[in-house]
Amino acid sequence: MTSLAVVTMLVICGTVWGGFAALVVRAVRRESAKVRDRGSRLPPSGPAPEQG
Amino acid sequence: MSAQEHFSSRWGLILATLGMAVGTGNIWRFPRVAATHGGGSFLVAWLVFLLLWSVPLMVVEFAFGKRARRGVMGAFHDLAGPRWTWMGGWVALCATFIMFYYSVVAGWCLRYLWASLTGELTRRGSAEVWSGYAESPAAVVTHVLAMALAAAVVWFGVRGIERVAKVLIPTLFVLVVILAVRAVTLPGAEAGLNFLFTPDWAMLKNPEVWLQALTQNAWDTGAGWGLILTYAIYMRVREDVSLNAFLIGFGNNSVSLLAGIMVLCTVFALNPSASQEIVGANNEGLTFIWMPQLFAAMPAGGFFMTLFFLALSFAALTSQISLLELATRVLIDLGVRRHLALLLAAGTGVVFGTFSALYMPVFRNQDWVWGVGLILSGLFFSVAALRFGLGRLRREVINAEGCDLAVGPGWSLLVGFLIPLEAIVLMIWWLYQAHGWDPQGWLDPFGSETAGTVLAQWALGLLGLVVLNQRLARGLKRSCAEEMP
Repeated sequence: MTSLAVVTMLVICGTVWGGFAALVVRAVRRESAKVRDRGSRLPPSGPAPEQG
Repeated sequence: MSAQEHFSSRWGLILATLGMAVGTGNIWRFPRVAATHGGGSFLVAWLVFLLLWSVPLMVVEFAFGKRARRGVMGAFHDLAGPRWTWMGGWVALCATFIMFYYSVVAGWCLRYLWASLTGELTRRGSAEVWSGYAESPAAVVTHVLAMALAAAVVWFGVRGIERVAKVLIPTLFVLVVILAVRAVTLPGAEAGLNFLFTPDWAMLKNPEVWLQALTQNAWDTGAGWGLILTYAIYMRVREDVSLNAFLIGFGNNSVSLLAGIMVLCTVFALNPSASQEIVGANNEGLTFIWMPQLFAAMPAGGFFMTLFFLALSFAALTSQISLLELATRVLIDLGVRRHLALLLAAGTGVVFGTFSALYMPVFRNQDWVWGVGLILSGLFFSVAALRFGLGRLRREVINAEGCDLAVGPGWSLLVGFLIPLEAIVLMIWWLYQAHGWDPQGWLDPFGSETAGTVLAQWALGLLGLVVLNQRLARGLKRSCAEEMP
């Protein structure tokens, strides 16, 4: 392969595949943070208060 | 919409939407267009328009679906105003007509998957299989089969779509990676990589390269088709918009890039002397005649040929499912029950698609008319977003609760100014291209690929929608009122 083709391949593939991978990682992190956030808003677990 | 109709997770939504975006265009069109328009230079322009066309429009679509929770026509009615329902009707019309003939393409893929599995392609030769199959009753049978498979998935609503996407899309990614690795490791494959990645910077001064790159983005990412909007109806309430749009855009183009490497390395490694002829062939010629011949010439070729047509079938079916869901959803919004709406959409698709299955000029005509029509759909999305208010859409939907990636005023500039400009230039350019193909008959309304046929069919569609606008708006309003508790 010519060096120009190698450089272009690295730049293009790096941007597209690297960009996609980075976006997936960001989405995974944000989803985990949302799950943690929802968990911390739940009332503390324990026996339900007796009725009546 | 019933309360429980939602994707179970963000990943369900992303996989289903990726299934919509990744279609046969990624595998059979992108490698050809990239190779014949400057290789590396085309890829630069293609990346630029991913950010200047596809992603901003995907953000609009996700935002419309999330806000309106109705199909394309209902969303345009609710967000742009009842007087603009016809624009949503146009987006629905375009995608529905594509669904009619795309089912034929999905049928071709299934037929070739069967022929590669049974060894028929190697035994009889791909050219003979194609000449005996294309435009024959067998093509109608596979078209009906593809429509039936898509309908069977849509029958179960969003749960069915999500379950199928969760299996088919990861498998499709794995298949394309396996095929790309196999192609790259063939002796002589580096000639294909050189061809794809060597930039010809002078080509960047050629407007055609930019227009082809924009077209490729408009046609293979699914932005502006109304399909993302349709899936976004089923988003969870606190779901992100813009990060998801970037994910779909980059995910789709990642598959295109892998497909480009796979196809061009295979071509240059196995038949370098005919490489120019192969990449210059049309979509069907490359995929259904040349690729099987090339696979037959490689070690374990039958196995890799089967993987190739399996990947192509998965890509086609997941896109067909989204097209069928769009048409079904529009009918649901007009008050038809889901299963009846699905049967109506699929039944009409079977009837209209049969003409494309039996006559290639009809197929090419429909591909041409509604392919260019999609660019007008993109323009209509911009207009509807402007009507709703770009700042309001950003504030109330895109950057609202659940947002993982806020968009700034630059997005408003893209949607409000640049995308309409791109759409207008692109439509004029494609119609002008038709003049170059046939200077005498380019305005013939009965030609297969003329500007005249585009304008005539568009005029009929637009006129019908404008005339019916009030009635459609009333139907949407009534069905919305009936859903209220």
